[in-house]
Amino acid sequence: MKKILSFSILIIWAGVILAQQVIPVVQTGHSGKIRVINWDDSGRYLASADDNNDVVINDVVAGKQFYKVKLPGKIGISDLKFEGNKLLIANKGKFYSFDMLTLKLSEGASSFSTASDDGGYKIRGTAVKKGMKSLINKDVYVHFTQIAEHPSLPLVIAGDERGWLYFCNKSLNIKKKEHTHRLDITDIDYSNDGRYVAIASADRSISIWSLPEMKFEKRLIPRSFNVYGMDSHPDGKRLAFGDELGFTYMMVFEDDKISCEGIDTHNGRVNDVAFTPNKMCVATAGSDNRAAVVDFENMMPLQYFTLHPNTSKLSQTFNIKAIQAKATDAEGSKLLFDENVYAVAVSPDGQQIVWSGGTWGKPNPMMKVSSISNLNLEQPKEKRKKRQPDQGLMKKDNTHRFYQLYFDDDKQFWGMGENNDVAQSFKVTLTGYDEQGSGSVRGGFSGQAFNPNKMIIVSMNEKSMSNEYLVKKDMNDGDIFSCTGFTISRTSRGKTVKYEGHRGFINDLEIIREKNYLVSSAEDASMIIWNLETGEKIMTVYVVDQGKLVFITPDNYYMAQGDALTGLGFNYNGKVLPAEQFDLKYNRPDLVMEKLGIFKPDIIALYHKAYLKRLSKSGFTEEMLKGEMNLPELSVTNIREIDYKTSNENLNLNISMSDKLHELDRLNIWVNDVPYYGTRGKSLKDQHGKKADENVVLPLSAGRNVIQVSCLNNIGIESLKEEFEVYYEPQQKRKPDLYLVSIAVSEYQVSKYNLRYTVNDGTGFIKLFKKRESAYGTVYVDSFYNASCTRDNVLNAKTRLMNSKPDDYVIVHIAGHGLLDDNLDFYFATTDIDFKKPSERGLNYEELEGLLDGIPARNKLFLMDACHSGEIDKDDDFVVENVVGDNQRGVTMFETRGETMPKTGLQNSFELMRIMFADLRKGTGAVVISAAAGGGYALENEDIENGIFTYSLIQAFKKNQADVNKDGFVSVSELRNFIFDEVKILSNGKQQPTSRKENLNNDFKIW
Amino acid sequence: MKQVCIAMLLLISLSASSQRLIRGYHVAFSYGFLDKGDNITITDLDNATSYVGEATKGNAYSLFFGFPLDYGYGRHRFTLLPALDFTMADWPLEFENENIPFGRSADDSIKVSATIIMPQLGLHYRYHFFAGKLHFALGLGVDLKIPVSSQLSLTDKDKLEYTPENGFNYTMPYPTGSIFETADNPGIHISPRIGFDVYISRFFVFNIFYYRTVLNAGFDKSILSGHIAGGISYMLPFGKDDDSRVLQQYKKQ
Repeated sequence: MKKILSFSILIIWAGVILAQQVIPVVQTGHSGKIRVINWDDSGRYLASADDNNDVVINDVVAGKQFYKVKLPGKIGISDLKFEGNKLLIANKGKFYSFDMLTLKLSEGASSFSTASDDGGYKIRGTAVKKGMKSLINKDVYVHFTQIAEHPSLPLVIAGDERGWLYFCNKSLNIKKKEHTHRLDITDIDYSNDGRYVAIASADRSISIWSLPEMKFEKRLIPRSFNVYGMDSHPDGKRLAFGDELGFTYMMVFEDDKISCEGIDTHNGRVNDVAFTPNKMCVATAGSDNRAAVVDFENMMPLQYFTLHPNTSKLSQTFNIKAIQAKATDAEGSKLLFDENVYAVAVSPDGQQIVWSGGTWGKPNPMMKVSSISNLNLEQPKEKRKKRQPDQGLMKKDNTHRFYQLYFDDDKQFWGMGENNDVAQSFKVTLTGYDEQGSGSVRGGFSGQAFNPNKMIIVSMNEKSMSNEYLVKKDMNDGDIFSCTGFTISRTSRGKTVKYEGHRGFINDLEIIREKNYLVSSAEDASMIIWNLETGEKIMTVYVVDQGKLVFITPDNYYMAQGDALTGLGFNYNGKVLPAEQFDLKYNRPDLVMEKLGIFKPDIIALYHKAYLKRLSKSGFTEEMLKGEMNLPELSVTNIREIDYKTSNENLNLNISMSDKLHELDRLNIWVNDVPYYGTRGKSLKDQHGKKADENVVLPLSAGRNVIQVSCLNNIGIESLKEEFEVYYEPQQKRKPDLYLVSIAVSEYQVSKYNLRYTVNDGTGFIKLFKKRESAYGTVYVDSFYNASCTRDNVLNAKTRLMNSKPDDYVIVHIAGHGLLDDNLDFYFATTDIDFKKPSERGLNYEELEGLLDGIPARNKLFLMDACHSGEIDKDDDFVVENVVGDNQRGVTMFETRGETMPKTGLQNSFELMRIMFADLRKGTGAVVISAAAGGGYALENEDIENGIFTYSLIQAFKKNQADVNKDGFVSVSELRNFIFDEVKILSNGKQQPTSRKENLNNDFKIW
Repeated sequence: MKQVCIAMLLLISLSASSQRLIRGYHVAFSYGFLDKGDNITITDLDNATSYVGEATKGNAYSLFFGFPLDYGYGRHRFTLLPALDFTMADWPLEFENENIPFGRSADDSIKVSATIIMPQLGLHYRYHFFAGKLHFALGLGVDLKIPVSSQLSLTDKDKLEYTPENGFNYTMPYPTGSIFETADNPGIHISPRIGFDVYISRFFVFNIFYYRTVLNAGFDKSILSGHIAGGISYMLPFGKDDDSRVLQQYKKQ
């Protein structure tokens, strides 16, 4: 069995070795309002263009962003059209062609225009008309924005400016009405075969509907948002920034890693961020009428500061001025009713905060100050508490609205960005502030002692491709940084350095002097780290899925935090492929950190070692990845006929496989990362050929099915995976069955090893789930306690599990002694085990997990309450942790190897590997949570009469304690996180559970 | 009545579900053709003489200020209109007696004037329709008027009120059931109305409507009885579609 598993680990990664260029694609989506969309002929690709001149091509079948390309020149893409492998783009009278194979954009394509599909239906404000037929908007104050008639079906779809969709027949009688979008419907496009319609909205999303059922299929939404305000800390290690969703982030360049935390702060864009004297606290300016002080130690906003006092919805109701939020002045350049706080600053002593914003039903904009001494910014985190919102003090005759504020001493502050090259100073008083003099920013503020680390705004204008719109001055050396279009220029002593690489207008610039970085954020949802001196692009940084950072080097190597991997795809040879396919080659934290140039060689070496360890675990070496290799080829030939949404419980797949050199060996199919044929796949050996065709009837799981198909040749090389999604809606809902397998031993033949509470754990586990019997169709229980817990009995439990169905749940729980033999292999001690030769009658890990391998059920959880149940790095120095007393559930059958002390934290490349890389080895698809690390012990406690691990498991479901997101359910990941924290607390840190196997694609609800 | 109110509220709730509430501002002016009223006797207390005046016509001018709340579905919408109604009603009098201390005929503008202030709550249904690009609505409904101030007086053409202070000490008892008695104490009443709206722009509306009040509920009808009104409304949607706020939907729960 072990041999088989090793083989499967070896083969799955072979697909990374390719001759063609592979480009990582961050799944950002649009960062502006979508204006126009177009399907390709096959109905697989959907192109969409937005206000920022970004064109996003999505592979709708794979559910991934294929590529995002920025068009140069004036903003105004008006049309898109696929022509073979090319996408034609019309922009302000110019025509471009984007080659989907080479990913090159070229100007000078032949002109084109797509035919109107309005079918003669005309939009008349709040009505759609054709002859005597009319459709009136459900809200007569809302205008229609789009109308499109289906080429063959009796269907007309209209969309309005509030995002409502009207599906009508040709007489304009409404058949269905949906509110999927929130802003204007901007385009409607039917696929060529007429089976789908894509609907684009200014809310940056696209919805896909199947026809003629008019069923919602999926929504393509943005996953990465523009960063606006940034501030770098003088210590050179911290960069705070805020995005347009309202999250405030702090990125910390630590000695051995880069970390990032995000806090939900505002209900709108974060316009400005400023560090306070406490480096873990920052002030923020939001577009939601509030400034805030955010505490990254306590992970919460400490206090909000209101800009306009009377802007609540209620008070706006009868305030005609306040309602006209979009009213502008005569020139149309300034918002007259504007609740943006644009700038914020905190005094060096942490006692004052100042914030400035726009007008709102008032003659003047607002600028306010307030004392924040009660926030105790200089105190330990325990002293900092959440405070009530503060209204602040203001001067009625204030006429200023600044885009940057800065305290140069405890009482004096400056405002910049209102007028070109002017900084205005103010003095904080008891009643607010007094206006002082003004100075020239370029001239250096008339001798003011400015923090040399600051970048000060010289001028701010409307963003433009041809004029300077953001100019900042580096107060250290007086260098001027100016932004025109997507480019930053730095003028330094007559020399100009250009920073080119953004694909959107620049939002902000900051210098991290200690690292010699310039950091810029732009409307392409990215931040770029540049070499300050040379203008070389060092790194592009994306914040994906709210807080997960993805760093990408110019040569496409990346480092992705947490499960940010799901926010990546790879573009290869005109296809978009899941990140895991190439992750082994391109996920290189060591190269990313080396490129950043700020980490010591031994740290980079450690990361490299972690990378090598990962390669080794996957059966690869660096050399193997450098070469080129012939891959088997596989295609699902009927992929066009597969509906995204289906009510058929089975899916027919016609699979065609071939290999130029070697015979085909096996076929693998995964549904939500659970192997349909088990870890060994389906053998193709009996076909003895380099070509094979298979017709597979694949049972679907209720809900989302991420299906991956690949084949292997007889030397273990795997094809690229074909991936697609199918959503199964059962015609009749059926309660799933629950299969519980409880294995526990407290009495051993060698009685000196007897334990006290393991059988308690087993019965407690069964009792726990029996309480929820009504949630399941049938609950099947197999328990093996003490004398009945023999190797043969336990392995026979699989017979019943083979009767399960795809949506059923299987949970296996073991409690007893865990042993390690001389090879560091884990064994669970059966009642009759020979503790000196555990392999004879013990159950090794592969056999235990094998209970879950190849069974029809796809919701599988394996809970191991035994010592040494975590994974072990056999290649490195290994030391068993200190023995902690009689309460341990483990026996170690080997002597500590070597004399080195155990390494901890990031000094341990194995742990580092586990932190930095998602474990993408596809095992049985089961989630495995183990009570202890490979070298650690699982404990039991007489007070609770349980093992700590099992006790935490039971506690997790009491009052749904583990339900962190409060959705009423406990998911497997929530359970895992709860157990991790709870066990650590209950054992005073002596026991640390680990996640031995994860399944990112099947985080099922367990309670 | 109670059941009708409940049914109406239920209907409004149903029609307003998932709908956007539109609020706005409304100003209107009306001219009312009032009921004429019975003869009225005015007794000069100083000279112990009584005069009988006859109101041959009655008219009114009203000014409304309101804050409509509008909701509904498609063509069918309901408006809740809290408003303030300032009504000035006049009944010019004619006298048979030549020797009266004031003008004899209506031409002399001797009149009984009423000033009535009535907060009101209107509930209107509107049917919207379109002709080409033009947007219209036909409406009907009722206004519940609650007088908080009502005062009758005798005035001349110079709007000088006759009082003992300016030399005329008199009594003017209102005949029971007459329109004058109603004007003096209008009481809470329901005023039906019909209207026609022209949408000059999406939210700017010109309103024309006709309604009746208790001053049109006397015995002696004028040829045209009721109020003809014209007004303007500026409607504004609740909750602005702020692009930045819309992005909040993408925050993970």
